[in-house]
Amino acid sequence: MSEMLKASGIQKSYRMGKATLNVLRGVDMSVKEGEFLVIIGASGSGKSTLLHILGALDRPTEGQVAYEGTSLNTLRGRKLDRFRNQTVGFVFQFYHLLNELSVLENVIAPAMAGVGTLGWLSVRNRTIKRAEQLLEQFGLKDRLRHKPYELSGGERQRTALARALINQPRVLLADEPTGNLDSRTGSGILESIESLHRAGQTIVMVTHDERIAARAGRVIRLTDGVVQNVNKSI
Amino acid sequence: MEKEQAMLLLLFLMLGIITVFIVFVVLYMIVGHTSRDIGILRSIGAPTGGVAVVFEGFAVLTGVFGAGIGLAGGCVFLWRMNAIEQWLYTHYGWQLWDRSLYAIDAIPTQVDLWLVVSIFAVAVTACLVGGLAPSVKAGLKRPVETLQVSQI
Repeated sequence: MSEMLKASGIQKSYRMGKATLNVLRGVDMSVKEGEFLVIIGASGSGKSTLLHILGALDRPTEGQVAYEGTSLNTLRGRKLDRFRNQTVGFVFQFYHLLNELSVLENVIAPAMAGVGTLGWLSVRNRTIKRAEQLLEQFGLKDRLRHKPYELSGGERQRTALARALINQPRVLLADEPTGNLDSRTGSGILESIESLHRAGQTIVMVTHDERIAARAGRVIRLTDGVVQNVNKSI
Repeated sequence: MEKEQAMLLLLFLMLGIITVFIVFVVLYMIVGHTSRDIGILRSIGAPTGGVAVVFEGFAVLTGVFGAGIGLAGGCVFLWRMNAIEQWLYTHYGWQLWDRSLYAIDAIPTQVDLWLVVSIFAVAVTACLVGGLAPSVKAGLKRPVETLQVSQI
């Protein structure tokens, strides 16, 4: 498997008044194509920060992340937006859906954002069809016109999953996708993620749950901002 | 008459400045309230310019609708001004236009198309200028900051 994402010497610190909080202290890791990687760690260990940096939602204070050899630090403006839009798909713990939009509109939003208003007219029908297929795959066929606040937690997360996949990203980044769900609903979300992995999707997931980590192909344990160990599975 | 026109011009200038300020404040507050949504849009790859255009477009549309409604209201008022004045005089004995001072029996009304277009353009421009800074601020928001704040 070829290396897709490579993080080298990642440090991230925040200024808290006069003090400096070092969240990540020199993280080296890589993500291989087609793998299911879990980053596990206690609350405050820096795992979500690392995921945000891998997905170019945040920049490291020191170090760099390279995507297929290109440093994300060098990406600016449209190139950075395109990376977030086309290469990675994010699933957040708190879903982060747009409440004013319907389920279908939420799912097609990244496709719209990526092509602009004029480009949208040419891909509209194809994108809507794909969104409907994804929502059907995740059991939300009857919820297309519903607003996110009319859905259960599991349905919201499945909508977020469909949104993350609409542009067929190379890497799916999931930040505690089951953290806000009951165990049964969370298990359903995990099964969906596992089936995506079986279909060849590269997945990086952050969790603090050892049982979830056990289902991954490879596990990186993060403790106080440093990689403690890397295992095939726990 | 020239003094009155200069006075009116000054009044319009002040109104323009106030409009810019009001649009700036309102849009700034809207950007603050929609921080989470902006963060979501940025995280799914919406470009800085795209997000800024949404807010700037909102400001311009507000200007177009506001100026349109104001101009329509102004034109209707001008059209019926003498009738309104007559109605006020008949019902309340209140005469705005003292006939003993001016040698005309009706308030003169004239719509200058160039002036109408200018006022419309100034109003829309005022909204555009007022919305510029908040729109740019919205576009430049970093996704991770707004998303982290929204989940606290």
